[in-house]
Amino acid sequence: MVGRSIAGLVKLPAPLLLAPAAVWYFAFFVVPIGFIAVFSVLTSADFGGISYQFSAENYQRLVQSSVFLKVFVNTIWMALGGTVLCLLIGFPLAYFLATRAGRWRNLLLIMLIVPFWTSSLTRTYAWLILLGNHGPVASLLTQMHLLNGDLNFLYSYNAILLGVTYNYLPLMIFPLYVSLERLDKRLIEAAKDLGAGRWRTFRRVTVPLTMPGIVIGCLLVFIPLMGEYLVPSILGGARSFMIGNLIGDEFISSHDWAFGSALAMGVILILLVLIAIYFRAARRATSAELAL
Amino acid sequence: MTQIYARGLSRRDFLALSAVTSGGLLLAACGAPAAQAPAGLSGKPIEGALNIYNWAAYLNPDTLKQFEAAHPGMSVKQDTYASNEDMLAKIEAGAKGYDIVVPTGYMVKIMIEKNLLYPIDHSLLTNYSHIDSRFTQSGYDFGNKYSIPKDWGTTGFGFRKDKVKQGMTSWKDFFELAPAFSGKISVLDGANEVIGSTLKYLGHSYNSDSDQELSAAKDTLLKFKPHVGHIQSVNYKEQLASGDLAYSMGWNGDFAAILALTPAPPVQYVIPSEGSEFWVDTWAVLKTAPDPVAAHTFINFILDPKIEGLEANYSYYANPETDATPFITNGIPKDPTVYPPQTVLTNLESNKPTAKGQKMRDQIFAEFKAA
Repeated sequence: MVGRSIAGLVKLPAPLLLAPAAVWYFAFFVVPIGFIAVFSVLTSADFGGISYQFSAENYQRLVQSSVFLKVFVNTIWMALGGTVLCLLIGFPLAYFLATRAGRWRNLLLIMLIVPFWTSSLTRTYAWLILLGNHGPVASLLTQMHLLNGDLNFLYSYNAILLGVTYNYLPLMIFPLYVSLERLDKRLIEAAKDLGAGRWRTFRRVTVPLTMPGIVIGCLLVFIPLMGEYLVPSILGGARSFMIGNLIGDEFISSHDWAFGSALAMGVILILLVLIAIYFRAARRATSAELAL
Repeated sequence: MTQIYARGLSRRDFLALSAVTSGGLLLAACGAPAAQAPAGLSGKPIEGALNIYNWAAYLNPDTLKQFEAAHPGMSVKQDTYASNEDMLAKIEAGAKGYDIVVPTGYMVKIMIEKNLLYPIDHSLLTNYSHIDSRFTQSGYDFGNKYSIPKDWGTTGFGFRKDKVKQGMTSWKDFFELAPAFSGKISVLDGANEVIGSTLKYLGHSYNSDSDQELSAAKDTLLKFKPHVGHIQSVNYKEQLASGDLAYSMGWNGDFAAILALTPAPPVQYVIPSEGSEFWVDTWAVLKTAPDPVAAHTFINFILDPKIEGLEANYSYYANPETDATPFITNGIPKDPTVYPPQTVLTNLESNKPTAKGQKMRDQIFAEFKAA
């Protein structure tokens, strides 16, 4: 009701309300993507820069060599793995926060946000010290006779998974928390009254009703992970190169803006396809569960 | 990144600046008593801060202290980069506020062609005469019109004597021992260094731009790649010193610095027998420098043999001034890692790729990293 009265008071026309966002998205989203799309079919000049000469060569190079496709596949696996881990860790935590935390809830929520006050660069570097071959984790495991020799965990695919899960977990927890908190508890009671066990209630009532939170949380984690640059460049080694690093190298080290743009277009295309599939699956899952 | 920002002048700043201005002009006057400060630079305003965009750990903090003591009111700030290419990308993308950059010879040439460098005003560099004549006639910038030699060195590799018991002397060892040390090998994060070394291993020129030779280099590199643990230009020092690596491509001064640790780790630097790269790093003033006079003042300060000695003691890189040798300590002047014998030097090439060669190197290196 409050919302309606404010709208009634101010009465701003819709175009005016949308204008700031529209200008913003046009200038910082549509225009840059336009540049990337155009650059991707041009040629790179000698020692950097762009020469305005049409060429499909960048895309040919992309599909001809299997190594670039391999990097795309690696990145999709990393992004999927990170998203699933965030969901598996984040859902129980969000569930606890929304239903059991009681008077600790606000404190716990703040504790989730506090790490964001430190630069993610610093937090990622901290793992280098903790998990290094000469770090505290390695020496603890050695003392407990659980480790003989080097830990050799860093600079691997698993180290990247750990780093991205750690960095992105809050992005998963908050949408889940909001959905779970809004969940009408009476529906769960109703399910129990009707004879559903815990697991069945969870699967048939809780999950379908929090599906919007799950969908948003997964997207918030998966999409940036597809372009993740920081974590792989610190925790990854020579064998775990991601598409974000490849694009970064093309623009920064190789000065090959044209090929870098083609790679970026490849990421956008893959994301569009995967997200379309994902939305369709999520909608089907939700309606199927609710229909039963 | 944090150091570069626009700011207004407070009164205090203004006072500091005028002190610097007179200091700078005084110095200029000493150098060329008759000529005065040249027309191009005189009358340009000076700011209180000199901003240097440099490689990491490549300038002795003591040098900075002495410079700031000699020029009260002047403060020097530094940002760092890990490769010539990173630096070029940032400058080309329009990074403003830096006065001095530290490009390697080949990059000086590229930056001159791209019109990014400020011509050096030699009348402001009274200490220039200390530089050995062989460093004033380099192909990348004959007569040092745009760059002043900072130090020089070689690209090679270092290995752990406790891990590679049979020893290593060549690029052949570097590539062919890889399966035995899989994952414990590091190469530089630079297309030209990695591909140049591979070309040397295959018996070609470091700067080859032949399609056939480069494609052979690519095949070698893709076969080598599964054994490479790291592609990096900064952290190999620590990892080799701690024994996390068996061997690593790198620059000689870094290995000399490892060997100077107490106790010295069992590391040995190798200039591969097939030949390798000889490079010169330089001081250059950017065309967009807010304060070219201060930049010249700073470079001239460094060219003082005593200060050059401080620099060499800190960086473990060979100095282009023989006059600085008395000021270099720790046996560095006699260390063959830092000052290799002439017979070894003749076997080296400097990095000077053609435009075509550079493009192919970048493409091969992207595949190497992705593979």
